[in-house]
Amino acid sequence: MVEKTNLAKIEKKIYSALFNDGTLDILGGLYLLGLGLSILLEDLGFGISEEIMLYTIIPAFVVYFALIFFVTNPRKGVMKLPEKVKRSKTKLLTIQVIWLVAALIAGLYFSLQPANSGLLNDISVSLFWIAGSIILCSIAAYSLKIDRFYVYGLLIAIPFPFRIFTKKIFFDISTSMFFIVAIIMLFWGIILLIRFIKNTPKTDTL
Amino acid sequence: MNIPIEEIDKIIHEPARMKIMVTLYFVESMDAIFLLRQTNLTWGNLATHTKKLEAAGYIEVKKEFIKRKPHTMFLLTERGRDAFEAYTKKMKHLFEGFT
Repeated sequence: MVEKTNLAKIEKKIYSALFNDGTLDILGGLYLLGLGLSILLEDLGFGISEEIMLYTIIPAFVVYFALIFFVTNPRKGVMKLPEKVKRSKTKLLTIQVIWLVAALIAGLYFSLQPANSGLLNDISVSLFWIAGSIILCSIAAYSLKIDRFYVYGLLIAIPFPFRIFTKKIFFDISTSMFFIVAIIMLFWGIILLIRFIKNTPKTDTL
Repeated sequence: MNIPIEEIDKIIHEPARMKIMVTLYFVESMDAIFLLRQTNLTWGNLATHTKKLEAAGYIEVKKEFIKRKPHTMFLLTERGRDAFEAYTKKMKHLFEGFT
């Protein structure tokens, strides 16, 4: 009997196997926790958000690389992508890097604006971060073939407009939304990582 | 196109070997561990079927050092790629109009 095979699904499974181990979700969750914390401190009037972001982003990347080098990569094996796919991934990575650099420049510009610069400035900042979240996460979802990253992009974008239109309830409701999104991503990343470790025990090479 | 069923490539037609061919088709190469994970075969099955595919000239097996660790890499040969594409075309024609 002939086995009907869905080639598109197999292709997607192969490519996502490289990245679908939960480590990117954990990195994103930790990064968002740092972002939420820095925004919370800014809302509470401490004004040291940039330092907090740096102190939380660096450990997030340390955790991410440690998980990759010591936990997931030894279990995955080695796969080399065809040249055509490498070129398209390089193009997508270039677009992401360009967008990140633009975001850094824009972030610097907006941070130099005086506080309470007006509704137009707040809307511009929010629109920029909304577009950035959706674009970066969508590019990652498309190139890594991991659909839930599209959802992450939307979840990350949602709190930004709330910062303009909600009244401060103890602390700004949008700050708590960052924490909720961060916890969702962290939780999902940990679940995926545990599942990955259970399903892929360490094996000696042939 | 009239394709006698007897002309279907029996080397590829076996489910385990087809899994291996399909998996290797989308990549430049992959090592034994990655191939094992993707195909859900046992080590014994993988060894048996990759030997048959190698004997048919459809795949090549190379030992490589990657980051100072030895890896057994599997890749489709040109002949294997052509054979797989011919096989998928024949199977599509075989089931054309089948409801």
